[in-house]
Parts: sequence; C-alpha cells; structure tokens
Amino acid sequence: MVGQATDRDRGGALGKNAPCHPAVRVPGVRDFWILIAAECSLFSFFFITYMIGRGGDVDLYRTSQQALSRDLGVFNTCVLIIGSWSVMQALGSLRREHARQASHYLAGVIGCGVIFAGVKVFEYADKISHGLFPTTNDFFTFYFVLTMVHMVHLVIATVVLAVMRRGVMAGHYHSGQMDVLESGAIYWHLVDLLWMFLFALLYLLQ
Amino acid sequence: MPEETSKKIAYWVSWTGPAWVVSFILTWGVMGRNYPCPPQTLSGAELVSQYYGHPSVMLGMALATSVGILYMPWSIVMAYQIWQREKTPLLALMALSGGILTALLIVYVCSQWSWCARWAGQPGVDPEMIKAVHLSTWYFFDMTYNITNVQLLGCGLFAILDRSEHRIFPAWLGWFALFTGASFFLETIMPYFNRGPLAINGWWNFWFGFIIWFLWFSLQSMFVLKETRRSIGQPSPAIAAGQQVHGAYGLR
Repeated sequence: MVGQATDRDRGGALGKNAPCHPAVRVPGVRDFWILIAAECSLFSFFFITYMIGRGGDVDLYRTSQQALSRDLGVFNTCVLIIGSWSVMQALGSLRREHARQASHYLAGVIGCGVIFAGVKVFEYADKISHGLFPTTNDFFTFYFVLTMVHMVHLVIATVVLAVMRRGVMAGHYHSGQMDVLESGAIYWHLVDLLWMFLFALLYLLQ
Repeated sequence: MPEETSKKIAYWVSWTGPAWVVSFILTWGVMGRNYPCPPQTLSGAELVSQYYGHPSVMLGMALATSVGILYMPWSIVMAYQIWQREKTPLLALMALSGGILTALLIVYVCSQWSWCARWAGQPGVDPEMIKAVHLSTWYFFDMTYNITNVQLLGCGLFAILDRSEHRIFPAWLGWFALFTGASFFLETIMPYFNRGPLAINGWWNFWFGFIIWFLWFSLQSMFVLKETRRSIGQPSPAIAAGQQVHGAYGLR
C-alpha cells in the first residue's frame, strides 16, 4: 500500500532484511545414504522373493509359521523401538552439549542390541532343538537366513554405536560435529525398520 | 618413457574395464547361457543334453576365457590411480592383488566350462563326471568371493577415506563397494541348498550377486576412465611427485 515500506524499500524482495529460510540439511554423512539405499534395495529383493516363494505354497508357510513365537517377536520389536527412542535421545542430548547424558542413552541402545541378539539366539537354539533347520523347508530357509542377515546388521550397528559412545565420552562429538554419529543412528533406525517388515512377513502374515 | 606417454597408455588400458563387462556378459552370460546357470539338481545326462548340448556354450566359454583376462589390466590401472595417492600403498596393493586373483579365477573357471562343453556327450565320457567338474567349478567361482572382496575393500576404503582436493572416486562409490562385498557373504552357505534363492542359480546367490558386482564394476570403470583421461597433460598427484604432504595416507 502507499506509504508502507515494501520489501524493495527494505533492500529488495531478496534484500538483506528479508526473512531467510534455512537450507535443507541431509542428516549424517551424505554419501553414507548410498549404503542405506543399497541395504533397502537388498532387503526389498529378499522380501519380494519371500512373497513369491510364499505364494507358491501358502499352506506350508502358514503351518511352519506356527512354530515361531509371536510373543518373542513382539518383545524384540519393542526392544528395537526402545533402542530407536534411546538413540534419538542421545542425539538430542549431544545437541544440547550434554555428552554424559548422551553416552548413557547410547549405552541403552547398546543394551537393546545385546538383548535383541540374545533373544534371537535363544529362538534359534529352540528351533534347532526341535529339529527345525534352515534346510527343513523353504519357510525356514527364509526365516533363518533373513533373520540372521538382519542380526548381522544389528550387531554391526551395535558395535558402531559402542565405538561412537567412546568417542562421545572422549569429547570427539559435539553439537557442531555430529554427522558421523547421526550416520550411526540412521543405520540403527534402518535395522529397526527392516525388523518391522521381517516381523510382519515372518511372524504375522497369514 | 616420458610420463605423458605412460598416462596415455593408462587411459587406453582403462578402456579394458568397459570392454570386460560388455564382452564377459555377452560371452559368459548370453552365449554361455548363464541366465541363470543350470540348477545343480539336474542329473549328469540332463546337464549334458539340456545345457552343454547347446553349441553356443563351448564358444561362449572359450571366448569368455579369452576376454576374462581384461579384468587384470583394468585392475592394475585402477590400483595405480590409488597408489599415486597413498604414502603407504596398502589399499592400492589390496585393490591390485584382489583384482589380479579375480582375473585368474575368471579365466580358470571359464576354461573349465569350455572343457566340459568339449567333452560332454562324447563317447566313453561319463555324464556324471562332466557334472562333477561343472559343479566343482561353480563352487570354486562362487565360494572364493572373498578374493574379490579384498579388491572391493581396498577400493571402498580408499574412496571413503580420501580427503584430497581432487577425489578420483566419490565416497558413495566406496560405500557401494563395501555393500557389494558384503552382499556376497550368502555364498558361504550355498552348499546347503540345491534349490531356492540360495542355490547356485538362485535369486540371491546368482542374480543379485552378479548384478551388483557388474554394477559396481561399471560405476568404478566410469571413474577410472574419467581420471585417466583427466590426468593427461596434468601434473601428477603430490605423493607421486615426491612432495611432502600430511594426513592419513599422506592426503590432506
């Protein structure tokens, strides 16, 4: 309106006093996302082959699925979700420069990883003691191989976060330098997400 | 020999990369009828008639034996690019040794399948013996994936850790190299499966493994070509020129 200062008066539509929108920042190390994308594509490939295999003999898959413990599956799902919450809390603490608190949260994530692995080992031992092996039938091939591959990823994520926890305690990470720690957190979230799909496909899908 | 001449040779030799991937897919893959390879549940007689009975297999494997060696000069040129940028060329040596042994593996297995194709169906030759040689060659090809993993680890770590101003490989390619190597690990349990995704001809152990390997190779070749072409007429990297530099692997 006439008489009112415009953006142009204040230095143009993009003048120095115009409001700035923060640049979009990709969390973590940028190139690391290629590994995340590749892992997602690998597991997508696994899931598709599982569904194709399941489509060929639904009764076998349904019957074999009864041997799995849904309770343990739910428990493990909760463990991973708690781990994801804990890793987010760790990042938040570090952004507020509370390194000690961040290291406690990371210890929680590591604990969740250990618990998950322990439960899976118990499950495998139980299956094997009942004569169920990866070569028993197609369902158990998928079950053992997919969950073992997932567990390898979980172990890697746990070890990586354990190493990063030492870095946090040594002061290598702070609010201005968190890319590597964010990448570790992203990898944990990937492991969590993949488990959601695995749990649904192997334990729940009827 | 003048340095510029060496650089031009390196550029032309780096074309063996694209040449390998294209010719190997055509010879071993298409002519050799590996789309996928025959299942190991076939009897010797079935293998001889259904697979080696195709005349293109012997020609394809013979040609694959010949072109397979192109993997070696490409690996040498690639490793040399890394070598020029390392104070202690550990990763370059890993990339070099893994690449050379992979080339040896490729030409050996293709020659074995050529042998199978030559003698399959011949009078007095037991089909079960052909099957035994055929399968043992596949096991040798698949289960020694860690030879290629040494190359992948060398290339991958270099790409991720390189901090020089001018990078020859982007970091994302390094992560992809590590992923490629990790994706081979399921080959370890291949002997337990005659059928399904983990068998020799399965979706995971055959299709996913080979597609990812060829994809990594193609991407890596692209950057090797780009660098060898760029380096013509340019000064050599600081380490290769004997200058003092600091930091991991002598890179800033």
